[in-house]
Amino acid sequence: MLTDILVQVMSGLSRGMVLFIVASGLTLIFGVLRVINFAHGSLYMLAAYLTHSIAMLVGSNDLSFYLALLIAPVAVALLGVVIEVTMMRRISHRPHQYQLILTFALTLLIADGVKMVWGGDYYTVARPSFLEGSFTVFGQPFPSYYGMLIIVGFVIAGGLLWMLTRTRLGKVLDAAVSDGEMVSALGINVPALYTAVFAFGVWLAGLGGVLAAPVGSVSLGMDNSIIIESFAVVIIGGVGNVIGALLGAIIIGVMQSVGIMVAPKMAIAFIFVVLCAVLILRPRGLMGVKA
Amino acid sequence: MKAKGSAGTISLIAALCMVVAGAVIVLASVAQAAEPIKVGLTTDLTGIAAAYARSQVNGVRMAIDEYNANGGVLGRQLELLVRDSQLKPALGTSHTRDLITRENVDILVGPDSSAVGLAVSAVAKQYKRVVIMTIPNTPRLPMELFHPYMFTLVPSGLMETRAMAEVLGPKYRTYAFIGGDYEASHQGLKYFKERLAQVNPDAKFVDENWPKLGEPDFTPYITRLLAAKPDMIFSYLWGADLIGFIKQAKPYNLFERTQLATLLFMDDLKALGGEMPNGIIGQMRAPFFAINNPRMDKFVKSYRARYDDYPADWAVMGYEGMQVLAQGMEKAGSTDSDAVVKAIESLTYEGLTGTITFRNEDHQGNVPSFIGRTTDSRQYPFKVLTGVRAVSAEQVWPTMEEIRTARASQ
Repeated sequence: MLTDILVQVMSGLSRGMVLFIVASGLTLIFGVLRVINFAHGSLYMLAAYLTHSIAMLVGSNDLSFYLALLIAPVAVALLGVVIEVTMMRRISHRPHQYQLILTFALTLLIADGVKMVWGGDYYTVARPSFLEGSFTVFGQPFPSYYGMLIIVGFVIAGGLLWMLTRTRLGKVLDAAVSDGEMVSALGINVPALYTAVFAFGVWLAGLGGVLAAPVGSVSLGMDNSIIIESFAVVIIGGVGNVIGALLGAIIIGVMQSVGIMVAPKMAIAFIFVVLCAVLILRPRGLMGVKA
Repeated sequence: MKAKGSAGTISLIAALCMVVAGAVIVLASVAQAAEPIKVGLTTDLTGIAAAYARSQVNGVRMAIDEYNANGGVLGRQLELLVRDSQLKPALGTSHTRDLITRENVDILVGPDSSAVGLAVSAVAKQYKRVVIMTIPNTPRLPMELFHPYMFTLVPSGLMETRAMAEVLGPKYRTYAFIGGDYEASHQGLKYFKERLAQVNPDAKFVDENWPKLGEPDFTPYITRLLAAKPDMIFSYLWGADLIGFIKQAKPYNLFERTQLATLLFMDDLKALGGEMPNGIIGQMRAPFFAINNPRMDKFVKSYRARYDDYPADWAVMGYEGMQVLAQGMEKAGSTDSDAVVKAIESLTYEGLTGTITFRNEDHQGNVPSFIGRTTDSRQYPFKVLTGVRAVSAEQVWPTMEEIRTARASQ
């Protein structure tokens, strides 16, 4: 029984990691640009479909997975650049509602675009051969791919933290958030910085999409399910905070996994119970700072 | 002279009028003969089951084109009008009403989802148009919400789950369930349990799992199922959900540690390809590869030539549905709905999946349910079923008593 729970916790952790990677992009974009990007989940879905297409083009093998890791996130990040430069930048001084409507419109456009290009069929993407099987943990098999997801998730979290707190770029970002004009006066191209951050956030969504593709099926509707959970992660963790996103994602992943084991009929509600509790008891999120 | 002349002119004009009128009547009747028979197909080309609807349209269209190439039906060409109901019952209602009142369609083919199916069926009842269902399979269609203009070629959810219980029941003792948290799935488990108790009184359920529809991650359910250690997992997952489940269950060695019996469609076999494990018990509606008769062979050949694809269950059944309608109209000698109903009721249809007749009381086609185990195929680029058993409709369909009870409670 105990080992069952431990395995359940680990699978929850792996589930949380994809969520973290996507949500960290969302929280980063919000933290720096103050943009609530509804289209984040759509770009995640787009990357998953690109992964499928790459596998179709080069043949489904290990190479195609690495190529997808390399190409798909960059491709959606480029799309992110286009979105930021041609659309988001134009309305950055208008009220938040405009951004919401714009990014929501993008979700509809991208979802229909995906349907036009790939059709309504669902696809599967093979896992790379060395991650196909499973290893034994607590005497039970655990999928190698999930093990990899857990490691990748923590590596990305570490990398992001290092970038934001230990590098010059991180300091510039911090400064740009508190006073963009001042930073601009110091000779830093703030609009370009914003574009770069937006693209990087989208790149993370794309990475999440590539990593998620071999887990289940690549299908329409992926965008909605991830964006809702990602927003929950961002709110629980505290908007704009990477460690918060990591905590939020782990909490949601593990809560759902263990919840299904303990009380399967109520599992759907767990994520929202946590969300409500955080909103009531600590509205700025677990790691959020007071505005 | 003058009067006579005018009388002559009048009679001349009258005669001319008669000729013209006669010509108009003749022309009109000629035009009528050439006017096509309109077939209305409202189906869900948008949404999670869009791929099914596309296959269905392909099948219906192929049947229509074949009739038209051979002179049509009743000497008239068939014309197909397709509408997209997007899985929304309200759209199913309005499209079907429009097809009937504005486009004057003579006859209808049903949609994709069961919810839209009920909506379309209700409109067909109101306007007295024959409709044939080739995908929706809620038992409510032939049971409590039955009306004489509706025919169905699909084994209902009740028939399918009972067929599964018939096949699994004698062999396995402990069961676990996994299915999407929605009505059809809850109903399906209920019917399965009822029949299982008859087939094997010792059988029992040790676990039930209800993930939401569109669940991206089944791992918690998988570990839960494994911890319950059932002899057999009965699944009511389908489409993208089923694929996600199978892919995620593989590394947990679920298919070595226990077994899975599930609804299965061509789309799933194609999508998973070589990743589909062997030995899964799959229940299909129209697996072309497991049905050997010249009609099916010919159909598969022309379908592949035309669409460069293997026909999914939906294509096979769409094609059959259209043929049933066409043969019904030919047998009736007209497109009059009541005459066509009478004709289909007494029709013996030689279909792709076998010989099909419709029970008069509920217009349920006596279609079998095909259950077999997945295995490698040398012939096709996907796994197929082996040892396929066709559970006959007569073995599992509702009794008259059950139908009466259901209708009385309505």
